[in-house]
Amino acid sequence: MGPLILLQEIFKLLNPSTLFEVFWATLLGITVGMMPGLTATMGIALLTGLTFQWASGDAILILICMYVGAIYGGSRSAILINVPGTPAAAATVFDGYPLARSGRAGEAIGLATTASFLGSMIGLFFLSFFTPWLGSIALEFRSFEFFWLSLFGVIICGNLTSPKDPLKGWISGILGLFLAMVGMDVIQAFPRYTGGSIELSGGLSLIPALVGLYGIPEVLNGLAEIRIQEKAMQIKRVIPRMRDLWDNRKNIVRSGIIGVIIGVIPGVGENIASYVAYDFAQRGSKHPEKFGKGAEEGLIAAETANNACVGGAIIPVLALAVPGSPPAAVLMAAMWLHGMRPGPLLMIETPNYVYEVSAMFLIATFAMLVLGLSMVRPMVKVLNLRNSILMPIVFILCAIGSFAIAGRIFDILIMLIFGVIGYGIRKMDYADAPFILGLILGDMLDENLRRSLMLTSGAVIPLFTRPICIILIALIVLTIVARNARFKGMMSETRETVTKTLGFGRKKQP
Amino acid sequence: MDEKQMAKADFITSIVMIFAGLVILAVTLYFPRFPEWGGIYANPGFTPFLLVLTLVGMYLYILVRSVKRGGNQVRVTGEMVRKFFQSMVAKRYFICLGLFVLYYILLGRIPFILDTSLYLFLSILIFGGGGWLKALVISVATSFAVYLIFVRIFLVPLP
Repeated sequence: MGPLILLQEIFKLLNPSTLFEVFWATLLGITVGMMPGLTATMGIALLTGLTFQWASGDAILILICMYVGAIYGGSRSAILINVPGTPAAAATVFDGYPLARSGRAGEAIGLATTASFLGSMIGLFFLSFFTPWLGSIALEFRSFEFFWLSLFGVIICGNLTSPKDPLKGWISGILGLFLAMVGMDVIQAFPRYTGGSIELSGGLSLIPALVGLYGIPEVLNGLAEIRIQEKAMQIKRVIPRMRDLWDNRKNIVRSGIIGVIIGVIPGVGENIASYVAYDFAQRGSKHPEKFGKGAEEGLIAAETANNACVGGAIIPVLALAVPGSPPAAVLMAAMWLHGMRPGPLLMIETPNYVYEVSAMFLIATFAMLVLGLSMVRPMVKVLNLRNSILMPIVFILCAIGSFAIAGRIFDILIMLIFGVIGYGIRKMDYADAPFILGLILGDMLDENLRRSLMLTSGAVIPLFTRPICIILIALIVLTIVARNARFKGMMSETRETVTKTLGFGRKKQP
Repeated sequence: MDEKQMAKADFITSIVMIFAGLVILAVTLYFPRFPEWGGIYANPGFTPFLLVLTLVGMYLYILVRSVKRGGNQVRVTGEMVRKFFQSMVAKRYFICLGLFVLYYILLGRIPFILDTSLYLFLSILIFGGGGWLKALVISVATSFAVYLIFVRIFLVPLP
C-alpha cells in the first residue's frame, strides 16, 4: 500500500509550477549551502518566515528543497576552497580539497553530487517505509514516555555534539529547555518570566530565535574577523565514472545506513553523520593511508552519509515530533506554523502525510542531482563574492525572515539577542544543537512531566517502571556514564579481556 | 581560546550563571500555587525550578573545575582593557553590533528602503566592500530588490 501512495503523491507534484518551485528552491539551497557561513538551518529558518503566507504544501516543499540542496551545497566550497559551506560538509574537506588540488575538482564535485543523491535515496527509503512503523510504536507513548524522550534527546545530543566537554553540551540543552519555559505555561496559562511583557507572553518566537542563533554569529564572524578568502578553482569533467561508484557500492550502502541511524538520533545532525561514516570508511578501506590525501572513498562516505541523514532526521519529526537535526528542528517548527501536527497522531489524523513529505523529498533529490551536475561553473562564481558585501545582505534577510512570521519588530530584537547568545556559546565551546533542541522540546518536557504526575497524583513510580520508560532511562544513564573516564577504562579492559580470551582482535592498520 | 583562557572564561561564566540561577530560583518560588490541579508538581514553576537547579549544580561543578585549572587567577588591568578595545577584531565586532542596533532602532521609524540602504551603505563602506559609489549603488539596488521580491513574490508585509 505504501509504495502506491508514494507514487500517487509523486505524480501530484509533477506539474510545471511545482517543478519550477522545486528547482529554484533547490538551487537557492545549493547556493546557501555552498556559501561559507550560511547553513542549512539558517536557510530553512529564513525561508520559513518568507513563505509563511504561502499554502502549507508549497511552503513545506520549498523548505525540504532548501534542506536537501543546502546539505549537498556545502560540499562545493569544501572541495573548491577548502572551507566547508555547512558543518555537514566538514568531513568532505579532508579528501575533496586534495582531489581538487590534484586537478580533479570536477570529478570530486561529480562524485560528491552522485554520492549525495544516493545517500538521499537511502534516506528516502527509510523515511517512506520506516516512519509508519516508528509511528505505530510511538502510539504507545504516553506523557511518561514523552518526558523521558525529550530528556534523552537533549542528553544524547549534548553528548555527541560536544565531544570535548559533554557537560557543556548538556548545559546548553538544559539552558534551551529553560528558555522554552518563558511565556504562558501550557497547563494553567500562567505567564512565566515575561516581566509583564505582552510580546513575551506567547513565548520566545522560535523562528526569530533560530535565525538569530544561526545567522547572526555568522554575520559577526564574517564581518568582524578578517579572513583571507580563497579563490575557487577551475573545473573540467563533472560526470563521475560508473566504475568509481560501483567500486564504492559497499561504502555507499554502509555510509547511507550510518547517516540514517545518526539522523534518527534526536538533534545530532549531518556533521556527526559524515564524520562517523568517514571513520568507518577509513577503517574498512584497503588503502586507509590514502585518506586525507584525496581518497575517493572518503569523499563518497562523507557525502553519502550527510544527505542520508536528512531523510533520517525527518523520521523522528514525523513519528515522534522530536527533530533529528537542527535543520529538521526548524522544519518541524515550520510544520507547526502551517497547521500540521507532526507526532504520533499524524499517522491517525493524516496517514498520507509521510508519503507526501517523501515525495517532496524525492523530487528535491532529483532536482539536486540535475542542478548539481549541470550548473557547476556559473554557481562557482558565487564563491568569489566578498564577505563584506554578502554578510550585510544576509543580516537584512535575517531581519526580514524574523519579522515576517508575526509582523512584529520585537521579533527582530529576539533575533539580535539570540544572535549574541549564539556567538557567545560558540566562543565558549558550548554546542548550539542541544540548545536548539532544548528550545523546541521544552514545552513537551514541561507539559508531559507535570501531566504525568497529575495523572498519578504525584506518584513517581510509573515514571520509572513503564517498559519504554525503563529503556529510555537506561539509555540516558548509559549516555552520561559512557563519558566517564573510569567507565571508559573499564570498557577497554573488558574489551581486551574478551579479545584475549576468544583469541581475536582487530587487524592492526599499517 | 586556549585551555587557560577557557578556564578563566568558565570561572567568570559559572559565577554569573550561578548568581542568575539563584535569582531565577527565588523568582520561581513566588509563582502562584494551583492546589485544585494537584500538589507541588502541578505548579507552573515546577519544571523550570528543577531545570534551573540542575543548571546551578552543573555550573558549580564547572566553577570547581575551573578553579582547579587555575581559572580563578583572573586579573584585569587597564592596559588589558585598552588593548582589547584597540584590537581590530573587537572594534569591528562592536561596530557590527552598533550597526545592527541602529538598523533595529530606525526600523518602523523611517521607510524600510531608506533604513536598509543606510545600513548596507555603512556596512559595505566600513568593512571594506568597496568605495562610497560602489557601496551606494549596491545598497540602494539591493534595498529596492529586497523590497520588490519580498512584497511582490513572498507577500511579506515589510515594516
